[in-house]
Amino acid sequence: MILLLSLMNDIWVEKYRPKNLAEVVGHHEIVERLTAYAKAKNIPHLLFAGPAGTGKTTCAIAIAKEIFGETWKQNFQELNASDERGINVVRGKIKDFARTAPLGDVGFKIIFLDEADALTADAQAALRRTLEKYSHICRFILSANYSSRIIEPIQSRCAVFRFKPLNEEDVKTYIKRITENENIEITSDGLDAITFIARGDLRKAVNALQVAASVSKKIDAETLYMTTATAKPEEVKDLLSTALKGDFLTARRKLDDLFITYGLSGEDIINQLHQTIYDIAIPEEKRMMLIEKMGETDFRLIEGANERIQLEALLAQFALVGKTLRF
Amino acid sequence: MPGWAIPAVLKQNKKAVKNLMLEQTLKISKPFLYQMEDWTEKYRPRTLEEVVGNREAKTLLRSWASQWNLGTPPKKRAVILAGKPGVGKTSSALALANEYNWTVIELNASDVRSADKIKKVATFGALNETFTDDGRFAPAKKGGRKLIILDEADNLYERRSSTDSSDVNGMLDRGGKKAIVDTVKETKQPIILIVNDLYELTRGGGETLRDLCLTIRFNEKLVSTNDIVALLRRICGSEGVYVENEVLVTLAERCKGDVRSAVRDLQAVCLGRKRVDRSVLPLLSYRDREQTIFDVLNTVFKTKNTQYISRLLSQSGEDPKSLIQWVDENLPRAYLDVVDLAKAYEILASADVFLGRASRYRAYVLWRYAVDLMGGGVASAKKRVYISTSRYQFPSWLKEMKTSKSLRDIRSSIAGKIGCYCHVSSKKANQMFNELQMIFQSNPEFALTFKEMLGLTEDEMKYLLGDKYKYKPTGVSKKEDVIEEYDVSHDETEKKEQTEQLTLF
Repeated sequence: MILLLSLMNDIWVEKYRPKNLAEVVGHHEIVERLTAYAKAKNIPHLLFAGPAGTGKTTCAIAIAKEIFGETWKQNFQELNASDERGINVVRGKIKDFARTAPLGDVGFKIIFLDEADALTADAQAALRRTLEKYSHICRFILSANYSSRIIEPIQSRCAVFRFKPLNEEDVKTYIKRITENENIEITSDGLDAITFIARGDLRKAVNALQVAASVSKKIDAETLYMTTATAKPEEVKDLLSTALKGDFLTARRKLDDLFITYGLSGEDIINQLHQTIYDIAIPEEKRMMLIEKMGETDFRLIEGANERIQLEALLAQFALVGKTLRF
Repeated sequence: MPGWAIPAVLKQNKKAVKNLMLEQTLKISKPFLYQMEDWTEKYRPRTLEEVVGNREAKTLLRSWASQWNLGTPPKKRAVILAGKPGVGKTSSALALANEYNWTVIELNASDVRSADKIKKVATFGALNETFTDDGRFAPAKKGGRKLIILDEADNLYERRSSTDSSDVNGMLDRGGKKAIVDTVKETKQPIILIVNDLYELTRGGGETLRDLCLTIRFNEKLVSTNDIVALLRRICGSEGVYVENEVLVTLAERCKGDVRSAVRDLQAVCLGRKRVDRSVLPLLSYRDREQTIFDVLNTVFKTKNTQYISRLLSQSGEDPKSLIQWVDENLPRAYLDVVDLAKAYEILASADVFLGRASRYRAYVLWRYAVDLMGGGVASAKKRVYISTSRYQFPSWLKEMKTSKSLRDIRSSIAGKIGCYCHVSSKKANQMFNELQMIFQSNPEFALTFKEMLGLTEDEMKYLLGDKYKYKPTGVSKKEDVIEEYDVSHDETEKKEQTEQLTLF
């Protein structure tokens, strides 16, 4: 254990985040275009679209570092739209930063708006004005899972780059880079396991690697599956199976636990329920019925309904489906 | 937390209640507050002697019961106990069964299925063995009898006016009533029908039933204030609470013979105290003829008369937002069949949608639909009738959410810091939580480095590492300390949030 302690001194997703565009794995065309922008020390507004863990944030930080050099931190503002998604963040924080003068000789600053698709429709509309009004001193890099979730007028003002999920080779290259540097051993089935777990999401891959490395110096498939299974929250799955068994009161206790102890929101819980819905053995038409109920519940939560009552109603539907299975 | 009438108290004297609640918060460990036993159940009389007042009615009842025990059933095989709520009808019936060592089978008369059930139980010989409604075994002991109690028997006829589409022209009602009449004629077991309103039961052809039964009236005026005071004093003694005489007398006078409500109010003023003096008197003025939340729940869960429920809800003066919490909390304990439960929750959830819309658009006219749905809607969702006890629980969820707020704040603060460091939203960081926790717990030294990097507070470290957080060089933290510290912060948060909570309950 003592030996391991000296090894770990940072969160690896950050420690091994590519420092410049050249270190970025995969996305050759995108990196090439961005490098050209960096050389010219000028960028248009950019929209990075693609799934999680493919390098959107990394590319945004890397290009800022290359353009601004020493002063990149002063000229680069990162905001996560999913944490503050209302119109106020656009009118407040974003506008305030957008209109301050850039530091140094580049002539503009960069605002990186991560998960921009989380912005409400109002906020996106307000953003469109900001994009135009301050474009002489401020460039935006927006990131989103799908470009279509960003309103047309903003899309049309941005150069859109599509990030595809990373292929297995890219993931393996990157993981090997880390294991070599950390002086840890990973078996080839371990590498396969990581690519399987990651499914093209590099952040997931690196986190899985670090969790495994925190308990074992030699990493193989077994260690990886064991640690990821331990670290993976199973509470929602547990909640579902309890409801299906028809034990509604216990299911509700578990639901309350997710709210109270785990601090999950109704939205978080419904996300996880949706991820789990294909893992349970129920007839297809019931599954689809439940998915429809889930969608309705989700919509009601967005509209501001009470999380607990709505989720209880959904759980009661699961209990009902469970009952029909038992008879 | 049944027996707690705080919601209605609020309307009268918010400040006093706030103080009351604060005191409770400080004195009683909070999560258990709502688990307190309902005194109206705890002190339900065990013998007829203990039932307060109506001496003559009790004598009549006892002599009827004695005839059963002589071997041959009396001419009138059923008794109708009629009287206002809380005067002791059900208590007398139960006490009677207890005295005579009869097994009680409590059934609800308000649907046909239970009428059939009653008939089955009643007409089988005394030697047959049956099951009680909740599935318990009710053996017909040698010489022992089964007392069939039909509570709310007046509901049988109320459904005539209900909007339940399945009972066209009251056909089912007639069938139900006929089944009861037949049963009373043929029964080999004693039956007690309990009604609030004798007229309801006997109007329109109910005469037969009335002729068949011995009617015993419980008059609320025949419950003396002195007797109630004596009862209340006995309860105080057994609970170890000193209550000033003036308070007891006020409680006894004000309840107007409704002993149950007096006991309930006594519990409300005693909660969390060892001494109660006349300063609580202003709190007590609220009840006068106002329906309590428990009666509302009883009606919603046990009857299907949507019109009546609607009237009851509007008279209760309860805030729909608080009402829906009560219904929500107790619904899964009341509707035991999952089909009914799912249906009821579907309706309750749409009631909640209306509440949400009302708040969102400040269109409080929409509340009426929410109220209709959470009352009559939930009531009509059931296919069968449930005979549950009236041990309703205080809706604890909002309270628990508030109690746990400081812990959840710690978690979201950590997630925010991690998210900032790892360039992800706190939502995503929250998903990484378990992984990070695992890394930290197997590498506490790294966790310490990380603490510096992210500027995590002591509380946040304790949350992340749990009892493994003992690597701090200055080394103070044991797990006990952690818990203690959290407790303190809970209390503080709770104090701050009392005001807000008052608007909810």
